[in-house]
Amino acid sequence: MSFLQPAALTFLVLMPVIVLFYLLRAQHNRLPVPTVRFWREIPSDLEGRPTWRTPLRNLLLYLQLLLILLVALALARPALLGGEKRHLVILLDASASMQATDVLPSRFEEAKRQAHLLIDGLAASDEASLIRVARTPVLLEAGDDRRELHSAIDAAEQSSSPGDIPSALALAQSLVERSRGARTEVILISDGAFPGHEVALVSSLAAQFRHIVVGQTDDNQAITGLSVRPSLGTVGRYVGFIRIVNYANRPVTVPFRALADGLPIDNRPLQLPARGHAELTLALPQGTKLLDVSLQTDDALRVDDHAQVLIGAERPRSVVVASAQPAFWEKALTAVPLVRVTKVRPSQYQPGPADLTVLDGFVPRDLPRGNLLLVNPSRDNQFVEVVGETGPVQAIRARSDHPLLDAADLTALYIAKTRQIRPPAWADVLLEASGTPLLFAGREQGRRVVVLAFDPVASELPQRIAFPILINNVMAWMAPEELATEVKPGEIVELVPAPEAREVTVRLPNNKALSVVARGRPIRFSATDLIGRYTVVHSGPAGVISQQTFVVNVTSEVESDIRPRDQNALVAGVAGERGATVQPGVQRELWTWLAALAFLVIAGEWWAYCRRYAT
Amino acid sequence: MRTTQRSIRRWWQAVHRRLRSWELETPTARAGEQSLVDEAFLRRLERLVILARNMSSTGLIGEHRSRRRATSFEFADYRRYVAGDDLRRIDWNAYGRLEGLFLKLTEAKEDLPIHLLLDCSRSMNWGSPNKFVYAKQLVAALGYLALSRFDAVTVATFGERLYDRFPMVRGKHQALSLLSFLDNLAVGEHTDLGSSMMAYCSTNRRRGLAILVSDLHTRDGHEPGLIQLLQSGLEPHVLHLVDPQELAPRVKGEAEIFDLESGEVVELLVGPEVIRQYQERFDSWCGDVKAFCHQRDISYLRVDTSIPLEQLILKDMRQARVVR
Repeated sequence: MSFLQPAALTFLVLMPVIVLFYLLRAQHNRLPVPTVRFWREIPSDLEGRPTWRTPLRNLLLYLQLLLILLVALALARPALLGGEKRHLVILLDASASMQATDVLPSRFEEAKRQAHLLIDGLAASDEASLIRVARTPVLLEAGDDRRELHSAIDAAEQSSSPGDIPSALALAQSLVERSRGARTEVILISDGAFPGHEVALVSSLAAQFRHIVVGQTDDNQAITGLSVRPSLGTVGRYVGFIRIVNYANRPVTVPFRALADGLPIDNRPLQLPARGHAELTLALPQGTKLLDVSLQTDDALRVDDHAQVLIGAERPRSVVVASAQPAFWEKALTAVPLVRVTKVRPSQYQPGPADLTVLDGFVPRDLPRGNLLLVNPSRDNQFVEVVGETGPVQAIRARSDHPLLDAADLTALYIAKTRQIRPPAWADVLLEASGTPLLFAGREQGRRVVVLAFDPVASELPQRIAFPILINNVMAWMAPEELATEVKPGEIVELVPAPEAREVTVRLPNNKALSVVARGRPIRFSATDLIGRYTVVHSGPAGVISQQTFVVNVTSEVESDIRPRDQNALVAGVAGERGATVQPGVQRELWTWLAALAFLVIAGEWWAYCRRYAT
Repeated sequence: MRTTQRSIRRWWQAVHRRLRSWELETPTARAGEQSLVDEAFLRRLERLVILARNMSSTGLIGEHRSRRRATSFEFADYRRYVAGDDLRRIDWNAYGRLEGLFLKLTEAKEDLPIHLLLDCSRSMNWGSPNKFVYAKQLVAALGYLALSRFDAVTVATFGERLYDRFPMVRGKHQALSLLSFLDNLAVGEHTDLGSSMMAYCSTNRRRGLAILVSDLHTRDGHEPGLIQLLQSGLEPHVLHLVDPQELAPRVKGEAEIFDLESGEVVELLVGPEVIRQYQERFDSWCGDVKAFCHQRDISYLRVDTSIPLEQLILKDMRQARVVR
């Protein structure tokens, strides 16, 4: 047996209060009389009696205590639970839409409260697993220790990222598969602000599924899009594009404000139709570095009322070219903006810091720490296995979906002679000619490596229009000139340390700083849950080398559409009876019997009172 | 003549309204009981007369037979002539038949001053029915009865002192002003019967019948007041009002019993034994009062306020020979 509302047992504190009332002497009956002279000096045993009295011989007291006990037990909703062991997998939605305050204090806090109730409803032998659903679902706690489960719920933090429901369901499925012999149920506590088709994935769950809906209103206006583009026909001027959506079922007027580097450039009321949107175009002053837009509204979700975008946050990239014919590479690379090329003869090459090192025709014993472009690697290198040479060949297969070959058409490329290289495990072959890989790329020990198996001079590549595009793609992929301008909360940002950097420090929007030792490899930075501006500082022995910034905005149509959606119906449609909302495991609630018994006790107490059992 | 009848009817209606208003104040009126406002009751009151044991002359002719013999037309008795009697009152016809000298005595008719003394102390404002309201109704009924008999009626109220006084009046037409006086009475403080009666007697020059309506819960006891009335030549009648709760208190368990007049509190665990002892003391006190009155030839009647007023006056007071 278990209690579905154990908090009601606090009513039992009334029992000692009742006993206290009986312990205290009752208030005297006040009887006015014309004269007290006939009452005086009548011997009575009242005088000298203690203030306290023993209530043990009082039937009314016992009946009233029994009544409180029965009522408290009835309110606690005792229930006979099924003998079968249960495993509850609770998916706690911590996505941005759960920050809505239409349910006070917030939807996320309400979801945590619901999770506490579910844990309280567990039988002694039941188990539960708690998954926090954000961009990356995390298993917070699993087991039968209710205290740990409650603590995990309390410690769960709200996120500003969208919830990854498919990953969360996959994680839940793995937990379901582990709990053999137990009846499992997956319970999603969420406002349903995610695509319905994601929940449809529960059809693959080998467990019951239930969606507890949190939220009441759809009153939200959001900035769902913010970007800047160079202004056509001008130099150094940009135009901002803003998309504002009203998700409420009523038209609203929202004050809109835009700041360029902190100075107001627009301030106007926006009239938005019910469930409609507005798109704004703002011409930014020349030299603007930061565009900041906001809605001055009191809607339910505040996190999507503000967004920022950075403009022109490039930094110069250093490229070391070790080649016998460096002029060729210098000409090709300097066409890419913000690239500083350092030429060196292969015999004079010493590994040093650089965003990209081009090793043409040789591979040194000690490779540099940064990214590498190996061209026509020599036979005796220890980095890639060269098994021979062949030629002439013609490229017949290209991976156009890879960023390196984006818009670069290398099919039917004629190559007079090429190395035959066995592609390593870390590499993806992007271009090949009848079994001979010509171009492959991948990550090796944290750095990016591109291998071109042939000498471009001995091919028609320099004559192809795809060549500068390929070089540009190589630079963009291996040494990006800027950080992603618009990062979503929870998204991983790849920070490429400056070549000389020893430490990379990221200052968060809340002014906290996180530092990472730079080892020449890109750093995957994932602490992007906070909305706002992040500053990345590359530091070397001599101090700060360079700074970069990026901003994190919500700008998610899925998260901003906070209309509560009951996904049970969808689940029922897909998974049949799995959308049932019946209290799991409860065979029979006993409160009705207890309430009936309480009524009987009330009647008995009244009967006893009428029969003057009271002393 | 018609005007006179109309004015009399209006007067009746005014008396009825006033008495009915009192009845509304008191919870005594119960279904099936006759009330004071019953016209038949008032008619019956008019046929009653308040009895006095020792009639005193007031000099005014009334409707009470006097012990004093006086010149009148109503024959009373004969007695033998003694020297010094007025020769004019010798019945010569009797002398002719009996050959003896007899004087023919005639009966004097005198009025009876009625002094209605009403206790207005705080202890009277208690009980169910309220003793004060009951007492006012009783005084009103006795006053009306006396005025109907052309007796002189005065009302005095007292508590710890003499409060107020309704002047001595005669005639039924004064009933309305008497009722108005009673209507405006308020409850006072405690009772000091001795000093109140002393104050009353010092200002009263007319002897007569003094009807004391009180619960006799006085600080100085009932004795000084009654003795004061006797000494001043008044003939006291004591109507001792007792509430049913005084006879059998309905209290049980731990109780705070407090005095309405003094505020004194007695804490008791009341059980059957305590009630028995209380009743014993109360009965003993009532017996003492009654014995005191009998010893001094004072008419005493214990009035249970649960008894309807009509029954009290028409039956109990008749039996006690307070009225006839």
